[in-house]
Amino acid sequence: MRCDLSIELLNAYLDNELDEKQKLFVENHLRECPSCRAELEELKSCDHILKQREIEEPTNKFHLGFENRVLDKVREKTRPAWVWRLSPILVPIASAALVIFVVLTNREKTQPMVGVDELIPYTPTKTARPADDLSAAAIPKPDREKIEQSGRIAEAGELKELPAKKAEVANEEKAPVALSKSLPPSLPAAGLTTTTAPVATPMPVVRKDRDEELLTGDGMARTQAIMTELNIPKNKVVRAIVDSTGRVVKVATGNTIQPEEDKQLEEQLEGQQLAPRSAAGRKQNLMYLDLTQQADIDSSLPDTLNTEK
Amino acid sequence: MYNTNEGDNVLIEQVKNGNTEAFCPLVERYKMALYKIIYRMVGNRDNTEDLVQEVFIKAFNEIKKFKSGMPFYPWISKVAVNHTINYLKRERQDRFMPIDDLKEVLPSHKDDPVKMTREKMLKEKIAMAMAKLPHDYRVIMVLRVEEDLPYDEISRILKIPRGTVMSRLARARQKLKEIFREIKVNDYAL
Repeated sequence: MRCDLSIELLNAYLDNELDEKQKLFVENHLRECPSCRAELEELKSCDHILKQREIEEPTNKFHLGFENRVLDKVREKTRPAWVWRLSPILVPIASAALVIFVVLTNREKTQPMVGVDELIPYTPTKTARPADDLSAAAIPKPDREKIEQSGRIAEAGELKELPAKKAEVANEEKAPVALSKSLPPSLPAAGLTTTTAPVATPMPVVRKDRDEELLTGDGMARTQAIMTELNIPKNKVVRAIVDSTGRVVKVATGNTIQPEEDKQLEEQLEGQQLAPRSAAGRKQNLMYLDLTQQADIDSSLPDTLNTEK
Repeated sequence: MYNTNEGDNVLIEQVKNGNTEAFCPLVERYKMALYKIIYRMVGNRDNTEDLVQEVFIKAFNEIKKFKSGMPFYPWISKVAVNHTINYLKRERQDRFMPIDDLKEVLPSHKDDPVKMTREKMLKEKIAMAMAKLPHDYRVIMVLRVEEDLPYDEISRILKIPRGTVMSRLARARQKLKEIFREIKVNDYAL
């Protein structure tokens, strides 16, 4: 039987955790109490035995490459915890965003929007043949080269500065005849005469190689006749969407990024082949055709053509 | 008891500034010390190695909590002890195991009594006794007797008052003494 000395105190004495006063108290007690002395010896023996415990050697894996494995794990876990927690939400959102992106991208390719890249150069017409003459013969070589390099109608203004060319063009009177032949029978005769104005439509200068690729003036002449019949102002921007076969699928007016549909004109032009198949070798399914007449160009053309009205 | 290693602090500052590689020398320096302290509480080599790795990863993630200029080992050993206690609680390592069951778990040399020295038998008995000790008693015995930590340090690591350290340690010693008596460890004591 032990006396009433606290076992905690005896343990603290063994561990040398008592202050001097407590230590003195315990030592005085131990001198007089054989039971507590025996208990203290047992505790000491217990500690002594425990300190002999053997520790198993770690494996070779622990000695070799352990540091690198820890670093690898550390690098893996440097990913923020919130990413892991939100991954059930983020993954579906990312997937949905990807699908939307793919859909929009594909839609953009087929959407009939006005764009410069898709614009097909307007087809030259038989009535525009004088322009060929201009480019080929009447225009002085330096000017011709300049125009040919650009290959664009924008340079048509230069024609104004070439009076000699005007004279040559004025002699060309076959255009109205050609147009009249190409017009559909439904069109009134009066309409035929009005189609002479587009003779000077803005593509008098077309490179020879492209000239053969494009349709002749039939389609354009029909278009211009219809536009005139419907009293569409010359400066009104008219654009048609054509498919890969060159046939009109939609017609819109206005120069905004989203032009207004013109059903009336569309009914007249729909299905007509105004552009060549796979124009300019492009592979797009839909392309744009600018049908806008330009009055200032018209005015620069020979009076004889306009007088055909 | 603990020396402030100037090299440790330089490395720790580098780790805090994003240099992951600087953690490597710290792992190399303290892995055996942590292995010993964790092994004493767990008593199993494979589990101990896994726990040491987990402790270093945890220490890395919490390195910003380490106060610069302080000795590193007490801090990381505290992380190790608490991580191991959580493991023991999780794995129910403190469940009572009958002595007979322990004999099956621990290595036995019964089949080869010639090679069975008294010392080896004693160590086997000690391991059995410690495995039988409830985990909170085992932990405090390891910290005080095997790691030789003062009460105040144990109090900080286990986050318990000094008085609780004293009472728990007294009960742990009493319990271990009983187990030693039960499995007759004293018969093999040197």
